[in-house]
Amino acid sequence: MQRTIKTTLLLFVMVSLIPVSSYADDLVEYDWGIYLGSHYTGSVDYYPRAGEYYRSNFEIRPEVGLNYIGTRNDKMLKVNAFYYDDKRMYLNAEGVGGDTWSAKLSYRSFFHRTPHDLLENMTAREAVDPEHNTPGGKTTTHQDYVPGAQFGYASHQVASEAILNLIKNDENEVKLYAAHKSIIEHGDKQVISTSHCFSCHVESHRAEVDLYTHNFMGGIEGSMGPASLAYEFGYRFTESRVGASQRYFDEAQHPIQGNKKEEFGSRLIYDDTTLAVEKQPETEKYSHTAKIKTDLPFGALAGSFTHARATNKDYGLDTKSNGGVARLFSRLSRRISFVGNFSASRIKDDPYFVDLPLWREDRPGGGQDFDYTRYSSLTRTYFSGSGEVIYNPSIRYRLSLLAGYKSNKRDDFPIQDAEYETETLFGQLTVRYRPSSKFSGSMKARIEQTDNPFMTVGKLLERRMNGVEDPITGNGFVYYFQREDYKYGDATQLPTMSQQLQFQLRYRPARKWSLVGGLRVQLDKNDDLNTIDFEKTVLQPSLSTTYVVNPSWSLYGNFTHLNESLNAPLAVALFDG
Amino acid sequence: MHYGSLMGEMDYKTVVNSFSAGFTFLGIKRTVFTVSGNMVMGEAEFDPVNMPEVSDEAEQELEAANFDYSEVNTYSDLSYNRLDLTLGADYSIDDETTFSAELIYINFADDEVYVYGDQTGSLYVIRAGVTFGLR
Repeated sequence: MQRTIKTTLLLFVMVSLIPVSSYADDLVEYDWGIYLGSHYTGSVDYYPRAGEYYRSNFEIRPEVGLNYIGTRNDKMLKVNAFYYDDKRMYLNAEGVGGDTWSAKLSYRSFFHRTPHDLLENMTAREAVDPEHNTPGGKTTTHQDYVPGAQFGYASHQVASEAILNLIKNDENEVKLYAAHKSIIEHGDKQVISTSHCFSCHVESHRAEVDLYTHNFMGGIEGSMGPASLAYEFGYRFTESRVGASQRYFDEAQHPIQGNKKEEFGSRLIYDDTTLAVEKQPETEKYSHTAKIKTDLPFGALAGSFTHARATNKDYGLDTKSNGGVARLFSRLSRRISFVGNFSASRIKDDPYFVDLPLWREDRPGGGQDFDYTRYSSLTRTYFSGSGEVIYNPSIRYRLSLLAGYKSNKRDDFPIQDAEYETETLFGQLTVRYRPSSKFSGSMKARIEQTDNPFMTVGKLLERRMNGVEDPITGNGFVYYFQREDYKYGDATQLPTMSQQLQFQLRYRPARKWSLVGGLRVQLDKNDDLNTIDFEKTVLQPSLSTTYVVNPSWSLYGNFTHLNESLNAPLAVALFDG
Repeated sequence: MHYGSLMGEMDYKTVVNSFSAGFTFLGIKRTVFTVSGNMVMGEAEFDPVNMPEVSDEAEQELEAANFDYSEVNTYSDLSYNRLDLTLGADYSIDDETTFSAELIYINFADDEVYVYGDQTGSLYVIRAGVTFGLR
């Protein structure tokens, strides 16, 4: 694939270099430039972080660049290409055939190093004698099978677009278009997986990356007088051309004594086996979109409706959605206008049945069936509507007031048929003031009040278990799954009340000097939780300046400070075993 | 034995300062100099957590457990700064030919080592080339 891309690009560059042939009466102009150069890359100490997007080290490499633009009457060809190294290059080409057609082609590649988790923090063991810190008991260990490895991938992005104007005149326009974009990633990455329950054994392996994502779009747009209609079809698929990574999952046993293999093995879905980890699913998505736009006697109306279906082909799971948006613009008077925005959608995500072996099969008190159906919180009905009144008394002032409502009802969250609804009311005031050409300022204040923000419902804490309410027949032990009945406590970092304020002031002390100061303040709060009162504050002042000393000298400078603080719970369940 | 949950609250604070500056100078004899730089300094940390006291009963029964949470707040400490600096010069030999040179310097200083180890280091790139044009 990579060779095909390079060959295609080379051919395109060669074709673009052919001089534009001309006829005696044609108006022909062209301009081209070629860059020939080289670069040397060096480093000090650990370079992969500083050189996250640089591939070579202690090497001299050649660079080649090309710029070309040629026109003949109303036709134009433009090519811009650069080769930095074999993993970083780009090409942009554009052709225009008068009013009839236009086409674009682009290619871009870059290399990205990804970090290597050393797993050194994945080491812990209980102390059997805390007073003398004598290690023993349950343990967490790690093993890095690729120590010192540097991971990274090259990303190749190819995009093209072609437009054919079937009708184009002052009143009517009909055009067909097609577009495509592919992202191809080659390289390697770190895969981290854990053997669990009886001992936490974390392993790090290298995995190959060979991922292909292709997008295709095509459509037709037509406008007749004040109205326009459009239809667009979209298709996307993603596939990995390498299999999943494999790892060996340890044989289950007592974490300290190393025996009782049958008992501990019966509590796990799998052990003492090699299985796939981190499988990239093959997915595809179809979409159909219809759009309409028309002028009205008092303003304009625009809307669209989209039907889409995304499929996880590995498991045959579909996510279907139908949704529409509408926007109404109305001029109420010479100085007052109204903008209404409405959006509604329905998303249905297939449930998935998880088939599990019987828990502790043939063990005393065992044999429980924990099969379950996973219902998705993505299945939801969404609606939003807002209205904004804009008052524009003169070129110096602009005032707008916006109010709106959003509803997001999840069918099966936190449990099947629960219909968890998040509702938000919001309001916003925006003021812009420009008393002179030297000074201007703007202010935006926004408030959002939310009922039932998305959260972890009833799972943060555990009540003390004095025995269990529903003990296992024939077995006096308490098992992990029985703790589920004792859980309570909600947790989220989403607010029920959010207040946001933004200021920006622009000042030009002199014709060649400008100053811009800004301030963003945000206060988020959620005191509806039954665990903690969540608070988050954000303070972000900024200052920038530009100064053109004279036609030969110009300077700029920016400073931004971000100060963000929030609180979070730390919850620990106290139990042995 | 199971003694329920302990819960404490932790405050998390992030501070990021970023500066960028640059200038362009059209020098004499068809020379253009450019300098641009960007520096980001970031810090993030949890405040120490105040966990409630563990009951004597739980502490006695769960003697293998470690109830010291005094270091937990340091696990996610971050402190770094990154400098990106570019110096460039173009010299127009004639209307169609320009010589260019550029130095790119990137430094990352890792003051609080996270799970990736100490990533402190720098990288530099020296570039030079000639552009030929034709109209």
